[in-house]
Amino acid sequence: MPKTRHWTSPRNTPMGLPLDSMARMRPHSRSRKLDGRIPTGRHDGKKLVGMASYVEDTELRLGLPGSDALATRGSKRSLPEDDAAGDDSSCRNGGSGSAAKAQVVGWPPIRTYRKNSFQAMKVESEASGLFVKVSMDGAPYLRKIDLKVYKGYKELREGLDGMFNCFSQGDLSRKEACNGSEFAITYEDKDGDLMLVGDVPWEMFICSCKRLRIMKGSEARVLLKRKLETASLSLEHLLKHKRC
Amino acid sequence: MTYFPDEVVEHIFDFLSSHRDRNNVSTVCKAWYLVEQLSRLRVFVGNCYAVRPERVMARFPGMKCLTVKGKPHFADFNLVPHDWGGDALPWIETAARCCPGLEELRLKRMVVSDESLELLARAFPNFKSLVLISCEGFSTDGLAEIATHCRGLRELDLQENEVEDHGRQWLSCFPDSCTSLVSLNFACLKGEVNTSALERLVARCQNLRCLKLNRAISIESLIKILARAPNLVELGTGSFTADHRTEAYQNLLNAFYKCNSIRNLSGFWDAAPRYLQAIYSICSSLTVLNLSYAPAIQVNDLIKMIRHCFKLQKLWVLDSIGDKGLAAVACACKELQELRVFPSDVYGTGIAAVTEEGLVAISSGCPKLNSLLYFCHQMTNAALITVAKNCPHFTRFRLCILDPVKPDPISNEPLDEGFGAIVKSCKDLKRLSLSGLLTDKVFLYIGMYASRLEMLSIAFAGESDKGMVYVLNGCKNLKKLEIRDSPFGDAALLENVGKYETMRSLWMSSCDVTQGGCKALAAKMPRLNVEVINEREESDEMVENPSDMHRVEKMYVYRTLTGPRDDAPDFVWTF
Repeated sequence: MPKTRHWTSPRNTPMGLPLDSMARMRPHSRSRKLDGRIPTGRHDGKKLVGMASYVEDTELRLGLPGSDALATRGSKRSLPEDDAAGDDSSCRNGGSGSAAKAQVVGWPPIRTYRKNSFQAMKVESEASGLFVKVSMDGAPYLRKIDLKVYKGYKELREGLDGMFNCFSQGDLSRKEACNGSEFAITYEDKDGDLMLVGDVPWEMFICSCKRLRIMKGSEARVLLKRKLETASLSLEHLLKHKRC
Repeated sequence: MTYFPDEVVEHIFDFLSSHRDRNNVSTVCKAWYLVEQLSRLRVFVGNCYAVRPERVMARFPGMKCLTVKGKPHFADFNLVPHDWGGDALPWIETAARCCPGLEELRLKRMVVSDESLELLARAFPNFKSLVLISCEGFSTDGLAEIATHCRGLRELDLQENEVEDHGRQWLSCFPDSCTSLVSLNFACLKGEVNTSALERLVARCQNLRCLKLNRAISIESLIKILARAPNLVELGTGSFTADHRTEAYQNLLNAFYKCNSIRNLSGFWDAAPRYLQAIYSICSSLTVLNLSYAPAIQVNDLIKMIRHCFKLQKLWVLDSIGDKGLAAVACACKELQELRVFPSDVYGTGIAAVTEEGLVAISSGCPKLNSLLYFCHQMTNAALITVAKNCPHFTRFRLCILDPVKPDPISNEPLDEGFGAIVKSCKDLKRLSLSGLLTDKVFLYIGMYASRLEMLSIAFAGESDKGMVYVLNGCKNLKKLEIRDSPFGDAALLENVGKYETMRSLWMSSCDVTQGGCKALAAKMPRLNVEVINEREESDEMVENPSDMHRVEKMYVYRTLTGPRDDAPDFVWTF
């Protein structure tokens, strides 16, 4: 009859995980999807073999003092005695993920289908390039631009001009055309609201911009006018307060 | 009752809907057995390897509806190798020969090939309903066969299957003469479908009540579909995001306004907050809401929506709802019976937003709660005790603390007392999943109090063999026991071998059971299949014949009438 094993408080186990389960992290040799688990062969207290280097990076952060061999099978949930000494500080906040948390196969118990769906969604949102659609009122089709390519609003404007020829009209110089421009660049943000381009810092803008719309004519004039009005109001306000 | 003519007995049996009741009456006497076997229409096979298809169909020649389950539950979490088994083809082939009048087939965790689907589509002229849950092995080609050849198909329900996408034309295969669809769920398909074919299909199937779209369907298509199916009761919305904002919102609002039969909503894959407002009009009649695939929805929008859902009975959400959101649910949803809170960070490494507080709030606000699946970062004994007091009607209680052996963070104690309170208070508890730091004591409580428990899931729990023995000796209605990473060994396994014949199955992985123990069990109990799954790595020096002392990594034991199965792959050894 195997003896009762003593459970040692997880204070002593940084990850809060039984060490053996750490050692047991390996993909099924025949499973279709290798989800980045650590391949290892282990049985009966043998050392881990064949670890990838990235594994070693995370593995070492277990913080076990003076040992690179894992606890043997016989002491499933207790560390070698040397841990009791002074290592509480490094272990105490193990749960908050200070070290890269090594992953256990099948934990947390979430269906593969759900995991894959979320992976797909995550991958899409992190895809490089920030392509947004650009429409111009009156144009028959839309274009797509990569916002990451531009350094700021000036380059964006130039890029759009190059695409749509909205700002330079024939012989008029670009400057004149901009000032008396019939167009305003607007964008749709994460919340679905229509915003005028240029109010927020560039980095904030590219994070929240979902698509661009080049507005023409009267709509644009109203927007531009409003922008000027609010700008001059703030200026007045500022000057008033300065006087006081 | 033996003096009644068979027809009367049969008529009485008609009132028995549960297969367990029917199983019980069939054991009373020979006469009842015969009447029952000829009149059973709905057959349930909980383990496809417990009995041969031929035997099932010989016993129930009148079978109209067949349900079969394949792989063990832990296959959901990647613990069962990919080609372990669970092939549906033998069942479909045999049914094609013996029960061609089959009308409904429900398969769960089975491998279904396109060949099987093709056979299914052609062999059963009255076929009406196909439900596949967590299955794999088929593609849209197989679906095309079903669509083409099943005249009079009423239901095609695909839940969380892995389906290979071979193109978008399967939906177009429904002939123009098909008007019988009542339920169509293809939410799990990754690829695009022919939206105009879908719209036409929806338009001509006037009895369509359940439609669950996949992520490839945009709001524009959804609006057109809703216009053609205003009587839908269950809707999976598709991506719920649009290309052109301004027109879509108004049209969406109008579309939902007309759909006043909707009671069940899901989908919302990429939902933008603005669009959620469009469904407020139907929120007040919703009974089921599944937002667990909508990571883009923020807490505040969620709360605004939930406030309208006062008839909600079933809610599935992500843990981004937070304790604050759960408190809002507790205030608004007094009819709530089932709650599932899934982790938004699927690898459990982030900061989860729900704790024991959210659960306590729900338990005090929703006294009808009887089914729970809750992923959280921490739990306390006090909270569990409170929950047990507030909600004594739990039938399913599944708690998953993301850090597998985490104790009560306040007292630093194991969670034995908390779970003990749950099993003591909830006398109807049928399903329980444990997590957190647990000693043998929790199993003592379970053995003592959980007399109606049928399924128990254990992970990283217990201290000694005693734990498992408490459960095996105590829970007299136990049907499925699944254990991983717990210190139970041969002594526990062999303590009560007769128990396993009263159960459907036992799964043990990463425990202390040895090969010798498995062999001993197999020798004592010839009507059990003791399967040992041996996955070998290239670096493994293990020889072909490991000794009896060798610890077994994965073991699956189940009662069976068939003996060792003949389709076991070479890494599965049956003792």
